[in-house]
Amino acid sequence: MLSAPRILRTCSIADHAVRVNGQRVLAGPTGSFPEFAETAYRNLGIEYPKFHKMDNLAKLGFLAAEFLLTDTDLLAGTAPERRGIVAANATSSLDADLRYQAQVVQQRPSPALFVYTLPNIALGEICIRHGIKGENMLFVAANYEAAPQVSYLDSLLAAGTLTTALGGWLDFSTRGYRAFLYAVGASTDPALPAFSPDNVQQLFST
Amino acid sequence: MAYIAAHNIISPLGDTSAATFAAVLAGRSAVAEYPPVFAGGEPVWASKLSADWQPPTQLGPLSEYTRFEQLLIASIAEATAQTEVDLTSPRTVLVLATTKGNIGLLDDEPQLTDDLFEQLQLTHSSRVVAAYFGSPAAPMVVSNACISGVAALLVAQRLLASGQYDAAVVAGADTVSRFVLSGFQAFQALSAGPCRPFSEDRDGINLGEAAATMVLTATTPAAMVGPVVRLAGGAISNDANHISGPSRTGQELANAIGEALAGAALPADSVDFIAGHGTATPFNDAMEAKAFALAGVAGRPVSSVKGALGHTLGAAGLVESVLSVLALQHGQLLPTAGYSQPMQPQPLAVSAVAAAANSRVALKTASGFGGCNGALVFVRE
Repeated sequence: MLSAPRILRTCSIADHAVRVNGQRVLAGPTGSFPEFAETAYRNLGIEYPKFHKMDNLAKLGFLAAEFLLTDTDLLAGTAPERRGIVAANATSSLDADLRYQAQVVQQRPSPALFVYTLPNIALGEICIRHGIKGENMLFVAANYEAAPQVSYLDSLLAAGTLTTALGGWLDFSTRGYRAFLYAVGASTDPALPAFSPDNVQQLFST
Repeated sequence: MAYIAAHNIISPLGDTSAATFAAVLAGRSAVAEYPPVFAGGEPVWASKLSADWQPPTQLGPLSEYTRFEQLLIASIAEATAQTEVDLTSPRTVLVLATTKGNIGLLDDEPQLTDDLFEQLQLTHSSRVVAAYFGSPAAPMVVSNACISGVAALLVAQRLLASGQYDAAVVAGADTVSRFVLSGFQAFQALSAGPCRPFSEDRDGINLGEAAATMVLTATTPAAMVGPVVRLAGGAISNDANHISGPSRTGQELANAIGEALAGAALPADSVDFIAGHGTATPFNDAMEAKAFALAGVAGRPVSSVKGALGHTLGAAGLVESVLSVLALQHGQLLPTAGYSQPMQPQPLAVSAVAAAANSRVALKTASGFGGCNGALVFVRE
């Protein structure tokens, strides 16, 4: 790696609002998450019909990655095999699990929903959209702890396994949701925060 | 570097890796017919632990733990008992792999209580399993669909390489539930009988349940029995193509194989055998054949144990890695239960029955929903 990795950009989605680099770019309607997600999707001005088939967790992740990367060239200089995504969440795919279980009880299980009963599918959707063909890993943890994630991604960046990566937290359950994604890669821009556990944890919390 | 210090498999074919390995080599299969998921449906073929399965009594009363948690505890206990690795040390990390954890509880519980909601969290299971062993740090949990076990081993290897830990205990488990059976059935991915991996007439998977553990150490383990085997390299890739169908070209699994071999500083022609994913679905096995060709390992003997133990989901990568390590140590090629005839147009050199072989390098591969692929390289010293 030519220079130390820096946090290139962040996106946070919580309480029906989208923040990019800490700046609020969208405050959606009050109401359900799907309503907010639809508003956010339209705000992006993209045509991606698959979005409408996604479960809540995948929609949340898709939107966070879209707002993070839209109108940027953060991944453009990196070969697909050197792009990666490492994320964590607390409730795995429990929201889709419970919706799917309701179909099982009705003896009408749908494969289109069953596939979302795996938490890494949200990462898979982001990989498809953004041509990410390298490391993709989903950890489950009670809370977002930046230290192990930063350490893990740092070693992949230092080894050259990845050149530019997304990292963060994507959690959705009936009890709430939160998305936090960042892009990390080499940069000589001193204005960008260094890729350190403290910086990432602070960006998650603000 | 990561050395394999000990391991365990709890499967319908035995409660130790040695017992499961012997049964697999003998060509036995635990796949059997079970009643339909829904009344009036087709019967289901799966590899299930006996309903009477109980953890060993010397582990103490475990009735407060779910079956999934009991399996993890029993597997970890049996593996770690063979070593001096201390799970209560802050220098030992516990890494768990599962796709669905306690999801089987939903089969019997019509009401979602707060307690059930809590038990369904993978973090609940990881917390109680860690607490049982007195592990001081929060365990890491990997949930990456069908590559979870392979991915967890790679995570552990990297944690050891980083110097953060001296030892890693990597365990995975999944159970067969109505929840999961109904989903694969809805996908029309279940075989109508015993599955036939890497065969022309393959028609789908058999699900299975198992737990497996591998204990990895950063330095050569003291108590190792038999030849030393190390996890020399590994890689994860994504197809970036489809969430429930494999790559059309196999290029991304081939990339993972290439990266894993590069990490181990080994050329493709050093691979002595491949423990494939071999789920016996038409698309998966065809994709693997393409990937093996692209990676330059297509001529190597390849096996799948899915016909013997079913697809054990989050445990599969661990089960199959343990069997690969034993195959390296015992100079054997793993057989492929259920194999019928070569698949076209890209036949593989399928290892149909167990055979003696002086192997040094094993390649373990896996692929899963979400487009993920994983590859590990094990080397006998």
